[in-house]
Amino acid sequence: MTIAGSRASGHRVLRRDVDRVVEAWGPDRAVCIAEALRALVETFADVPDEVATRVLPIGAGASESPDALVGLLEEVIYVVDVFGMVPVRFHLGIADDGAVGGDMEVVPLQRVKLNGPVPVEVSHRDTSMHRRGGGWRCQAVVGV
Amino acid sequence: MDSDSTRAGGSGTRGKGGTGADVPAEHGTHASTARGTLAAGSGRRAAEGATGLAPVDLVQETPVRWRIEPTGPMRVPGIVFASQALLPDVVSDRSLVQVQHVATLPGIVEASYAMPDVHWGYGFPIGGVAATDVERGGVVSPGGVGFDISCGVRLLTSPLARDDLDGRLPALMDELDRRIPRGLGRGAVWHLGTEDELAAVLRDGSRYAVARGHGVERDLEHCEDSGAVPDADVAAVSARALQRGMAQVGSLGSGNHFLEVQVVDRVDDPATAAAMGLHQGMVCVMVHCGSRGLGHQICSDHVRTMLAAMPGHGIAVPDPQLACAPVHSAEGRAYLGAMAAAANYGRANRQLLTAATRQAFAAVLGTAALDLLYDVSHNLAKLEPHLVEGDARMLCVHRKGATRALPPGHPDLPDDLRTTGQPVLVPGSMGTASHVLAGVAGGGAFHSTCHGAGRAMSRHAAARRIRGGELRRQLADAGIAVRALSDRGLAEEAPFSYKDVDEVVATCERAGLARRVARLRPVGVVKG
Repeated sequence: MTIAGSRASGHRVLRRDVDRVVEAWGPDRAVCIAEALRALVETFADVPDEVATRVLPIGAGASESPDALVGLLEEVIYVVDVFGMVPVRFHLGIADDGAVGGDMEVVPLQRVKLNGPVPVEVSHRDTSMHRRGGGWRCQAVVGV
Repeated sequence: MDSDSTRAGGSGTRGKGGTGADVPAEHGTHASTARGTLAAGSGRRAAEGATGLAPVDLVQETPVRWRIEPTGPMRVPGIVFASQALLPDVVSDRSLVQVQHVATLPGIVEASYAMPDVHWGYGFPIGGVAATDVERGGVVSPGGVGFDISCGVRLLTSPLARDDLDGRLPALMDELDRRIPRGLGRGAVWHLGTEDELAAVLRDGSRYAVARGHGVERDLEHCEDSGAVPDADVAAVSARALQRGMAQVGSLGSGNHFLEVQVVDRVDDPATAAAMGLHQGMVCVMVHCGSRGLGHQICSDHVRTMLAAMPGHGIAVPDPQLACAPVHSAEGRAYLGAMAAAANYGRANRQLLTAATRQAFAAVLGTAALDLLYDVSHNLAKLEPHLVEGDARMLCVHRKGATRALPPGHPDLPDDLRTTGQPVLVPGSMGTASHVLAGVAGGGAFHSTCHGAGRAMSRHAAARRIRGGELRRQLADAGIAVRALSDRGLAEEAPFSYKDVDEVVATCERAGLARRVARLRPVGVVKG
């Protein structure tokens, strides 16, 4: 298991046989989900500390259910699979209607060192998105 | 219960978890290999309370067949095919709980089956077979097919013998390395020009590929469904799925997918092998891959749709990954149409890799005469007529990590394989062996059998145990040339991380699911 961040916000990854469990926490839903997206990328790539070449929009519905989390994780998988781009930084916020969205800085796949198989799907089992203490926690399972 | 029966009972102690990590299992099973032993249940039962299912309790019916009696919402029993040697592997994860879950699906008939290579999957176990009665509210479930729709195997035979590769195998492997795209962002053999071309691939599968010059007519005769599943519905495929499919026709992908140069090293059934065109020492090529990102996206899309639709159909399932809808519902029809499109994509994918392989053989060995023995999926749902309690019924047969195995004489077989039964292609790990089986008369589980060795160790654990470079050297010492994109990916697929494929296929034979025809060992491996 790898853990990154602080008590206020962070994420961890549990590597299993056919999937990865990503867990994240943050003071609000946007930070929490952004941490989960970072965790997703770290399941397969060492994120380079370099300037991104492009910025792509990312967004999901207003629901506080895990659906928004699943949708955004699938967005990352899609960008990697179709465009060959790896998100290295996420900038998310919460709109007035409650929707989580923003943008992500991406770099070409060739500039990233892969450290494991790239996830190909997000499971609808064992996903969660809930308030805990003064903040939010979420969990998702991604297949590889 | 028969007093002579053996039981392997629920335990639920801290286990490896269904997915190979050191996490607490929801509730587990415990293997007992001593006859008459009942292992005491002692674990967490929260999930049992939620689902109404009793702990898994295996009752032995034959040396290779075990039964899980229906409890709670189970509509049919679970039937597990496993030898005593495989039983610890079979019960070491949560896959048998998943067998119970599948038995709750509306319209399921006969049993929820587990093949000898069963292991944990999303919703359905990998190595699971379940059929629902289409006219009696039977459902179709994307989880019963899997994310990699129509993942499957094809085997090509060649006019070459092992000796013909002497001194030329490295050059052949280099050529295959160059011509077989795999891994992330590495492109594909076929650069589709337009969305109309992609739509044609989705409708006509291998037939379209062959029509465009990427194969010969005989390839289609030896492909399941003659190269294309009927009734593909391109309109049921999302724009995102289409985008993911646009640039991947003719690519292996990664993970356990591979292209191998193999040699027939043992013939188990000489007459059948001869009828299939196999003989000792023959060089063959096996291709294992699926429908790439398009299939995954279709599965994701339709699981989401069905999760939303289930309450309207009055359906509740014990695991959201078992999301389903009646075959005759709008959601059921849409999924089957999209699934057929993905299946056709998978077949076209394998057809394009076949064309690239023929080019490599021609360039290095001077022959492109690679004949397709057969191409069969092991992740698919099909509408098939079967007898259920003596009545002819139309069933939706889900095979996830399981292979259809039609018996001799079946009308869907090509003429030259009509007497042999359907070839079943069972890939093992890259350091061991693969097998060709044949369907048998009276084969159980709706004419289904195993699909591979099945993992026995997590990818992570395998990668910790050996480095890719060391494994590459070991395989080279064993006469196996490897062309892998990444050392880590290679280590994750180390032979020791898989079950004994010889035991898996022997168990299938003993269980009357198929019979062994020939064994093949790899001499060259191309992997992502």
